[in-house]
Amino acid sequence: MKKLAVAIALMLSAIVANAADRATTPEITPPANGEEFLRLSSTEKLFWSIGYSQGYLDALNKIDVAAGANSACASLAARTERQSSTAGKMSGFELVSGLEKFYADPANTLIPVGSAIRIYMLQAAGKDQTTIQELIETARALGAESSHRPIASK
Amino acid sequence: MDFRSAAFCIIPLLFAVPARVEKPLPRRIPAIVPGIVLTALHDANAASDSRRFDGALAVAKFMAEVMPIGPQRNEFRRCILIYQDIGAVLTYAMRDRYGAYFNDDSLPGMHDRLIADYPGYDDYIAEFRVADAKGNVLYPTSETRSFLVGQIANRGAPP
Repeated sequence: MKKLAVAIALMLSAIVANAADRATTPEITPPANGEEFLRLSSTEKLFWSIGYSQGYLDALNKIDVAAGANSACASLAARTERQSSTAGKMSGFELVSGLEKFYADPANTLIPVGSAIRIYMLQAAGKDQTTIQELIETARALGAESSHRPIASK
Repeated sequence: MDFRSAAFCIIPLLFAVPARVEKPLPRRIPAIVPGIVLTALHDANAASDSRRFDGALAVAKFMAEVMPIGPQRNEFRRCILIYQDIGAVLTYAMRDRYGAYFNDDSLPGMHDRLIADYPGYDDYIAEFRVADAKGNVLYPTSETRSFLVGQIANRGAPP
């Protein structure tokens, strides 16, 4: 009987702790494109941005572990993917601000978030405007294709 | 023709008067014109277009100067004051590298002034404030703009 009481007490405390944790951490549905990103509150955008950067870095580190330090996969990751990682390069505040500015243009709303982040990082790094515009046009076409909508004109 | 198109037709006409005319606008402005200007401000803010917003705000201020004294002008001026605050936050949000959030360092005095001028802002924004790694409290520009737009809607004025 005592064991049952202890078990019930432990279960109740676990439920309370879980509820408290839920109350402080927003449940976020990952945004696929600008439409979904702009629907999030600022707090959700910030939490998501921090999580995205951390998750991206974790995934890159797993590539190294799985493929081996000297493998082609690891060198590809180092050469291309690490360049587009936000971790250590910009804070969550900056990423949210950059994406809000990027998606403020209605023509960009269908661009997938991953592409938007890469384009914003190139913009922030001072890449030439012609290349940026080409990337944006391509991303708009891909975004419109993935959502089966015509490309929005400005 | 929607409101925005009408605004683009009417607003240039307001300025298209010879320089020698002392009173460029008639004292009696059609009742719909302030509504069109406020709609242009509302739409520019909704689209986060700070340049279009600044242009519409300049036109709105000019119109407030030439409107006849009365309750309509008073209401219009109150809306402009709120839109001025929206404009300050919007401009910062669109031009600063960290524009999604502000504090006293980035927009000096803004938070205190919003608390003083708008009852309920402090409670509203408390839910959305965050702290950075150094413990600095930051307030989101997006929710601040939403709150201020709500203040205009609560006045019963045109959007």
